[in-house]
Amino acid sequence: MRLSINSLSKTYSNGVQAIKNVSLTLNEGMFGLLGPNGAGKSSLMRTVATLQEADEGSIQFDGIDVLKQKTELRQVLGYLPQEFGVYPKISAEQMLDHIAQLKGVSNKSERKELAGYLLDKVNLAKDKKKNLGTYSGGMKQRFGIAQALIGKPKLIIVDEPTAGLDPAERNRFYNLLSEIGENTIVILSTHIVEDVSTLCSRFAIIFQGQVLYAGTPDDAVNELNGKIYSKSISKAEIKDYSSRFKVISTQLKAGQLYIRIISETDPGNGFIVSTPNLEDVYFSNIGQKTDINTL
Amino acid sequence: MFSKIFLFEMQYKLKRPAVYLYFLLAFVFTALAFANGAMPLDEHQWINGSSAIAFYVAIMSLMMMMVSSSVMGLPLIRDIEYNTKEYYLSYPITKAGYFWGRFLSSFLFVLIIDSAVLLGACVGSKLGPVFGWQPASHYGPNNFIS
Repeated sequence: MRLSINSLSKTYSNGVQAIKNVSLTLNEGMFGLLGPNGAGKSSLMRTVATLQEADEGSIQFDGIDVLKQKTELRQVLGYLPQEFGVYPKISAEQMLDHIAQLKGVSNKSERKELAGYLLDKVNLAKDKKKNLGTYSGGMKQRFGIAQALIGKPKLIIVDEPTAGLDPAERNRFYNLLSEIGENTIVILSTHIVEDVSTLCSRFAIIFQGQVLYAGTPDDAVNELNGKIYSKSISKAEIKDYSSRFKVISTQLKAGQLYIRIISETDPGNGFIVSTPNLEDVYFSNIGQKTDINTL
Repeated sequence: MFSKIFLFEMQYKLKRPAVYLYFLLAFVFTALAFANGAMPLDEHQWINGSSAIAFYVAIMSLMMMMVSSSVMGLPLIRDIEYNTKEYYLSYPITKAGYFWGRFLSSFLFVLIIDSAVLLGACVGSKLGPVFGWQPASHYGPNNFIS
């Protein structure tokens, strides 16, 4: 199973070029899309989910031409949008039953079992008879997760799925996703770098519609080995350091300001070499394109 | 695809109190009008005469138009109104199944609600003489309820 995106481009009618010549190849497992807000992650995911057209390029999934054979792709797709609503006057159980029907699960008892299993997994079992209109934000998000995973999809696209979930629910969701996503392709967009390093076998950094990096988190981090230095400085010195070094991030730890820089050679000056992490990869890639103002 | 969306829409509609309310209002209003003869009639015209019914239905159709737009308008914009289009349209549904399923299901409900007018006319013309609101001679034969 493979999803390949070739030279995909999309410009909206207001002139914003959301996707610029993006090419990616995804195999089974979880693939993370990292990028700041407005980077084009959602546009890319919506295009793969057949919800919007592309201007140029092609997408192939398991022998399906995604941009042309939309219904074929939708039969194997599970999609959780970034923002969505629910029908207020229907229970989660009934809605999931209807969705399973639409996704082609024709056996009634199988549908009931499936809906029950998923609602249990997203911790909504005791609220399954309640109308969706009475759900809180986090509960709606969990319902969204359940609707994306119903019907044994082969391609799961989840757009910032953990927004609005508390840490316990977030862990629960990731466990569920890794359990269900074993033999599928899962595309996960997030701006939480830590999520990508713990979950995804491969990831890509997207910024201003372009892919800045694609690879495995380990390789990305190893590339920066011995190149990341950090130092504690006072707030007044930040400008001076920014002009002299390639500052990739600033962090406050117990009121003390630390800067992290990237340098091929030892910068001296009291800097000590640090172990790189995925956040450094993210900031160093984004930093090449824009000024990062983290203070 | 059509039947799944059609049946789901019916299931959804059956949970809306407004549907029952519209039916009840149309029925009670019509039954009372026919039981009291509260409509413009000529001196020797039967209250439940075909021309009187036709006239009444024509007037009522103006009111039922509002009911129709309320019942039929929502299903077609529901996915936009509740922002469910983002995932609902990612399911393998066909354009025709989606549109006709929702449209015809709602249309069936409009027909059922509209039938309350005819049912009300039937029942009202029986109730009038029973309660003594109108003499029985003001009503012609009722072939639906005899």
